[in-house]
Amino acid sequence: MNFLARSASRELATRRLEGSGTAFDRNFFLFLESARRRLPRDTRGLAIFTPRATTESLYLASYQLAPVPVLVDPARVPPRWLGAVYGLSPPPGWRIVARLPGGALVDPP
Amino acid sequence: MGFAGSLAEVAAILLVAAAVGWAGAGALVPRGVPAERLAWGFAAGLAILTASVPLAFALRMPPGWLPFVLLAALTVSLARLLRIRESASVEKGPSPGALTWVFLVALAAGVALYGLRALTEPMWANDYLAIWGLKGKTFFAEGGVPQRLFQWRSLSFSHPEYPLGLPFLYAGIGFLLGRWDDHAMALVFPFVQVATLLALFGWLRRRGAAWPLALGVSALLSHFEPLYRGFTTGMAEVPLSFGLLLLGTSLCDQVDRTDRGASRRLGLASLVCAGTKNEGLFFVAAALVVAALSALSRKGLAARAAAALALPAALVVAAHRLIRRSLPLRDFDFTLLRKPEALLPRVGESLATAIHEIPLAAWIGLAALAVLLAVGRPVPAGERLLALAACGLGAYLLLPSLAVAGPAWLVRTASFRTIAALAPLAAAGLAVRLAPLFGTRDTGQGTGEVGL
Repeated sequence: MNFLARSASRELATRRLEGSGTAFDRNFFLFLESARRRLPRDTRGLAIFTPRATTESLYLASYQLAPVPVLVDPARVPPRWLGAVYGLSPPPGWRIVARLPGGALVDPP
Repeated sequence: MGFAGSLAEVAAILLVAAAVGWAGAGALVPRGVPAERLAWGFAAGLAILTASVPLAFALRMPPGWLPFVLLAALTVSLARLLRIRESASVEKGPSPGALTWVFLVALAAGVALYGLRALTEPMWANDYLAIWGLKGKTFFAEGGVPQRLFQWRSLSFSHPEYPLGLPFLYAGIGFLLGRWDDHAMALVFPFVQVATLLALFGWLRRRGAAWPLALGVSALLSHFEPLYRGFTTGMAEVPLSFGLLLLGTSLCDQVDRTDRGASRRLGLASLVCAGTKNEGLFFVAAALVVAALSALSRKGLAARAAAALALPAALVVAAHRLIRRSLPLRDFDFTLLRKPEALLPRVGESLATAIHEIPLAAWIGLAALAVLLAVGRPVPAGERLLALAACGLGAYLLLPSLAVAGPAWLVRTASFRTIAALAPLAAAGLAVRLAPLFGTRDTGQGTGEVGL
């Protein structure tokens, strides 16, 4: 009840940030939401690279970024997709599109 | 916009859907049973809202109010032509006593508690994020059904083979709202809970249960936390549990020929079950078997029940084939059914895991159910409802033995919440068997007239 009363006036993304679905890594959600807000409108997909890929991170990223398709730690980035690195440095040669909390939005060569 | 404003908007959308459904339910429910008419009307309203989305996509119309209003107008017009004029004979009984007021307060508390659990935060369960919400949000954002959801291997975690009813409902609410708000949208679930309780109460009263019994069972169900909790909010179990109650009660009405709306209600229930989860089709098939067995002792209903059950389910299957073609149930290895030597140990593992994982509180609950079962009187409607619930229980306990990921995994991750969805059905079955103990009748007849 207190939680609801406290959070009701906040923005929807903030309410999710404080909720159960992001408890496994709240910084990851912050990173995802920041990436979502910085994505160019014509983005075909986003390949996310993280040192701790889990099913939770895959589900949360896929949902939060929908309808933009998401892959987590793919062997290769599909053509014309963007990348996002979380808790890692961008691979050499990848252009940084935007810096995000805990990572960056990158354009693979 | 803040949460309160969004919540009010979603509440208004759900009330509009319920009002449309109420108008349409005149062709489903006899007069004189407002609780049941509200429940069936809500189911019909949500079905119209859900169907308006693929309809708009198919007709290349902008989804939203226009296709919803058109479909609603069509349905309500048809319902007026098919309106049921007969009235249900519900025994008034004595005026509500103190006990009834206690149950009423308990019921209100159960609804309020689930409302708080459901609305505390945006829907968050893994299955909501990965399956139901992902598809709904994608339909909403793309204004269509992208085939990648069903074809890309990287999206196989979202279970492309699951029915699309719930995602279309989410998208429908999003289109009417004009934005995606997965917090306010959770209000659907407390509404479904209330509709379930109304359906249970109304049906029990029409079947002759006394006020305190009907209200007491509804109050008890409203507090059933394994079903009505934050975790299940967003997933398909709560809507399916509503659909199963509608399926079971309308099946009993059809078998007992209570009124001319029974077969229509059975058809809508079949549509809801088949469109919500894959096992909905299994329950429709189980209902067919129960109807056929009942027809052995009661004349001439098997064909009508079969048509009412099978046609809507076939329509749902055909619509899914059109949208995404046929997709296999990849979580299960059905070839094991031909290998008893491999299957039997897996059945043992499923059952052993289930028994091992049942907490003490659940054993106490099961013991209480056994007592209620023992003290109840044999009532045909009760036996049918419990037979349907038993079919579901058997399937949910045995299906993990076919799981590709292993029986124990599926039992631990899914069995208990899926079994919890049988609660409204089982509650109706147990309660109607208790009705004679409270000095009330088991009518088997909802109306004085039998007008099939």
